[in-house]
Amino acid sequence: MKRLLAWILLLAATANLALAAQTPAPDPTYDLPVEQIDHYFDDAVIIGDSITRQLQNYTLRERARGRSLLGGVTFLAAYNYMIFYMTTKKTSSNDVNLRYAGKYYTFRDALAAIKPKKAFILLGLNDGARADPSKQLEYYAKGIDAAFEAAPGLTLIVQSLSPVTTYQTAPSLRQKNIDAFNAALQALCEEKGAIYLDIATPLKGEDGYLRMEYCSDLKVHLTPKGLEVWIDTLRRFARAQMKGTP
Amino acid sequence: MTNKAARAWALLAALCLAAALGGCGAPKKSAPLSSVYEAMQAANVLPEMVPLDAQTAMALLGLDTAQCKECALYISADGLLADEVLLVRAANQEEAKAMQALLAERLQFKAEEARAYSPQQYAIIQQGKLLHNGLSLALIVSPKADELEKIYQTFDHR
Repeated sequence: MKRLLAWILLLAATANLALAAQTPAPDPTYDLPVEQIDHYFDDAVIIGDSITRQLQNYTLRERARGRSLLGGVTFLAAYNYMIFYMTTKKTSSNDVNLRYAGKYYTFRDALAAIKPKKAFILLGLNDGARADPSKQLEYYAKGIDAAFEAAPGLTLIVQSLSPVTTYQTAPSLRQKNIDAFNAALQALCEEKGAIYLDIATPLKGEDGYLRMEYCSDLKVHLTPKGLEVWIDTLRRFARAQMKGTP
Repeated sequence: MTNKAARAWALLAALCLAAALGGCGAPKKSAPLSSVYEAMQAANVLPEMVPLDAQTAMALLGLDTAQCKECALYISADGLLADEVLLVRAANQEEAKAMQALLAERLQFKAEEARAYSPQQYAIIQQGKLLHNGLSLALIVSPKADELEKIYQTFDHR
């Protein structure tokens, strides 16, 4: 009897070890394996401009190196996509259009075609952060409405504009205007039932500007390090959503 | 040497010269597209590139890789660079025609989005190569597109 019990215990211990070997350990940063968190993005689309394009290509690079990154997310990006283009009803050769699966789409039609459960948007830097952003916010409001109409039941996540460095001196992209725009965007999201996601703060230094180590062109675009910070922000958001916490 | 022999040698020499001037080089080798791409990579003129998986090829290009006999699809790891090498072998003429259209549209999209955004990348895209040999197609976008095309054309693409 004792021998039988010993064998049972040994088998149970072996089975446990085998199971532990198969199950990835929880990432201490997120309290779940990242592969599980990344599945949150399987039915998500990320829409944006050149900065989103950077994230897209970086994600592809990392996946080619064997990393799990943002699950099966779909990217839709065009270098100079703007808030205004969220409101267009038809594609036009005079506009910047999104391109997906070999076809051109407006923002609305792309969402209607892809039917994601979640959409992350990062737009506004190409519009310029103006002292009076009311026109851009008006377009953004229309864009949010268009998104909800195109994909009923959509969880819409509006990302804040990412910061710029102290070297970005163009009047159209002053950091204080970007910060003001983000505050107004957050209020708009609350009004419209979209989720506002602050991707800017983790990228900033103590001076309130984009950290130079995160910047690839001295002004606005991101290094791999900066992209990893953004990915971390997205994953933390996803983890919170999975837990049901804001 | 007799006159006849001398004339025969002269004729042979003339024929060889004509062949050389006519560009009869080494026969082109047939190779899988992965090897063709490796040869292009070995030129060290491309930035870090990433391969497109089937899902991304469909999303980005509208290309169903299952319809290709063979493909080697690479874009720049840096999202702000226009460099791209898309090599495809179609299963038949009809597929080749459809894929050529997709590659042409891809080049057009790249040009459209770069035109106002980055004059430097736009200029590179404008020099992009869209190649069609039998069932083989290629889109090459690079500041060194001419060099990469030469490498591509050293292979048999019938």
